[in-house]
Amino acid sequence: MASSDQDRSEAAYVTTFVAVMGFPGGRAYATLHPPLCMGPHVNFSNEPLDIAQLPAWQAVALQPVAPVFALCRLLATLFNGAVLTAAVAFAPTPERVPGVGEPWLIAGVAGVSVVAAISGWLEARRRGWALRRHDLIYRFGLIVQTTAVLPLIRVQHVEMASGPLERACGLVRLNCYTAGGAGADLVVAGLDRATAERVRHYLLDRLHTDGDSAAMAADDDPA
Amino acid sequence: MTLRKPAPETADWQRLSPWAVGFLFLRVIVDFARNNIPALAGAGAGITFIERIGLREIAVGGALIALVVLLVCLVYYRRFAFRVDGDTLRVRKGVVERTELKVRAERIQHIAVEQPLYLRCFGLVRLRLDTPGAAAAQVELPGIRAELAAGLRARLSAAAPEVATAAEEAEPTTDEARPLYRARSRAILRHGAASNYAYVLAAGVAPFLGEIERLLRWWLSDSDLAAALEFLDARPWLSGAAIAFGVLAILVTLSMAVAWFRFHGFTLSRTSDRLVQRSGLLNRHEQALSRSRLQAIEHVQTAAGRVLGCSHLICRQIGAVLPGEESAGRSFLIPGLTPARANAMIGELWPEAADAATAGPGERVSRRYMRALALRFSALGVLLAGVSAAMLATPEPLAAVAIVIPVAIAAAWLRWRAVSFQASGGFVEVRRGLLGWRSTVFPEHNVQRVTVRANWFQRRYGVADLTYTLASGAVTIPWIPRKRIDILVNTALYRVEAASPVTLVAAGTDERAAGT
Repeated sequence: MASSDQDRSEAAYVTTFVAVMGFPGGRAYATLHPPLCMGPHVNFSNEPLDIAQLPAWQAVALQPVAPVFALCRLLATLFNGAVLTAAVAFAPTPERVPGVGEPWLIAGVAGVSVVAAISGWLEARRRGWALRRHDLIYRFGLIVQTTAVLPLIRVQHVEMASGPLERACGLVRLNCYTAGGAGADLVVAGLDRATAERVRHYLLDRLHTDGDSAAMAADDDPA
Repeated sequence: MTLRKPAPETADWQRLSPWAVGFLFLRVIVDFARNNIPALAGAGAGITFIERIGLREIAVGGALIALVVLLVCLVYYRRFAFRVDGDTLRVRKGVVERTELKVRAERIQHIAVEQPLYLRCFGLVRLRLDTPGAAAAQVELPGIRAELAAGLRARLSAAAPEVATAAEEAEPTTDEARPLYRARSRAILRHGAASNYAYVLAAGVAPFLGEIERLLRWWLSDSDLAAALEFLDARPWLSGAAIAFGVLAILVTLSMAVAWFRFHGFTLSRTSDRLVQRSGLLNRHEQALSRSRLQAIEHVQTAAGRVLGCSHLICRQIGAVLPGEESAGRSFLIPGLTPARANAMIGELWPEAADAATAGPGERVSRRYMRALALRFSALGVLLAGVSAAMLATPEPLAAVAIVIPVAIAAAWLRWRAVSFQASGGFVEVRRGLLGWRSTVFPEHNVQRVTVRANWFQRRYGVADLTYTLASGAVTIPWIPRKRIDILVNTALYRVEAASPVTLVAAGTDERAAGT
């Protein structure tokens, strides 16, 4: 593999990547030794990759979100459904609007709400997430399943949010904002407060480390 | 006047040119009128019905409003001040609420200098700076002297310490502008004929078609052409085709005229980090875009453009520009290219992307995508026909199903044929469209987020949609095999991490260790 400069650089990258990032404090060590950073970048940024050696995102076992999240979703959807059903049943209208107050419409809205609540419950049970050293993976959806991968280097800031029902269930949403606008942000719902705190701390730690090393790299850049 | 270079602390606050008051006044009036056309039309109609309000009252009211606007503009001018401290531009402004903005040169991704005709007589320009972020992050200096703007731009450009990319390391760093492209008049006219301005204009004209027809009839019936009108009335298909052709010809001519005014004398040049374009017949534009902040390049071939062999490039920076604003001057558009020249241009801007841009047709997506689309389009058509039949209470609309289904299949085939993608050398190119094509080329390390989405059908057939979200917008490749997606996702994540400073540091450390 080390027959050419490119291959050697690739091998160097992979071994260092694993060696330096793989032990506690490795990131801080890496941060303190920035001087040669631009040279190897020029060498290895454009090489053929050995795809088989790359860490496989598809092989990551996702952790389920907190079990109480399914109950929380069920209650929230049922509550919304109940409000809608009540509105259809008792809405005072100045003139007679076709359907309002009719049993078939009330039953229909109530039925759709119950189906939505059950599918929400099933969907919440299937949600999963994983935090790798360099990215955050989140899977959601029942019929249309979506898996989003957010490289941690892209996180600009992190926010924890929770509604009244989520607070009652001890749950927190973790909003990770990026420079890509709303389409690139990632909202991880269904984490218990302690887990969310730990993830947030890791992300912030990573944010600071990256920011510091970027600044150092810029300072050392002779250009 | 050239910009003095005093010590940062002693740099004086600069003002806009006094002529800027007139310019601000005009702009407030025009913007207000443009944004409130329905309200103004309603007010005008209301006034005509109230007999007590005559021309004199309207004139007095208008003068009062103009006076208030003028006063506000004067206050705005008085309170508007700016200065450059080292690498930071500071702007103080505000009429009621005073704000001070500070923009660091390194945060600026795009500098635009515009000189409309009415500012040119006074030697003034409008300078606009875009920073990554919301529209509120834009800074505008309306009405400063052209020399001052040039000085400011040079100073802010020089103060921006861009992180050198591989391409810049490989070539000598020089700040001399190197010309890349100059659009000939014929190419600009071809761009106008091929561009979608005609459709936009058609959409704008559509509500008035009935009125235009009524006016034409009135005019024709009064003149000697009444016989021609009768002739046309007797042949509705012929008259319909003639009207459609006439409207299209007028719109294409207008579109060519718009392109001529907008892109007249278009030149594109490049310094070590910036791309600079200059164009405009009446309203002179000059835009500078930081190459290191370039997120993606779009190669657009409209349906007419594919026939005429004409395409254009759009350079995307951080912060998505709405498709409607593409031609409004905010985006960095390079017009009048041939497809081969456009690919060569992508290679000029990103030498590493040359392979991805010129490697011919890329990988196709699953044929099941075509079937799914045909099914979806047909279902939609049948549903519409059914609803129309139910509402009109006649079975005639159902006959349209015989046309809807072949059209749906043809559209699905065209859409499937347009979609292709390829990934090589750290760059990805994704093409999509229907009759026109739009290819997006971007480096994988610019990816902000990767999303894999699959519905029940797609999971059954082992395919999914892959979406790369960039800081300039999202790019989706539909219906590709899961195994291919896994490779693309893993590679993209690797590239993102490999381009990060921390990883560079780690690799640098190891290289040094290997060298010793």
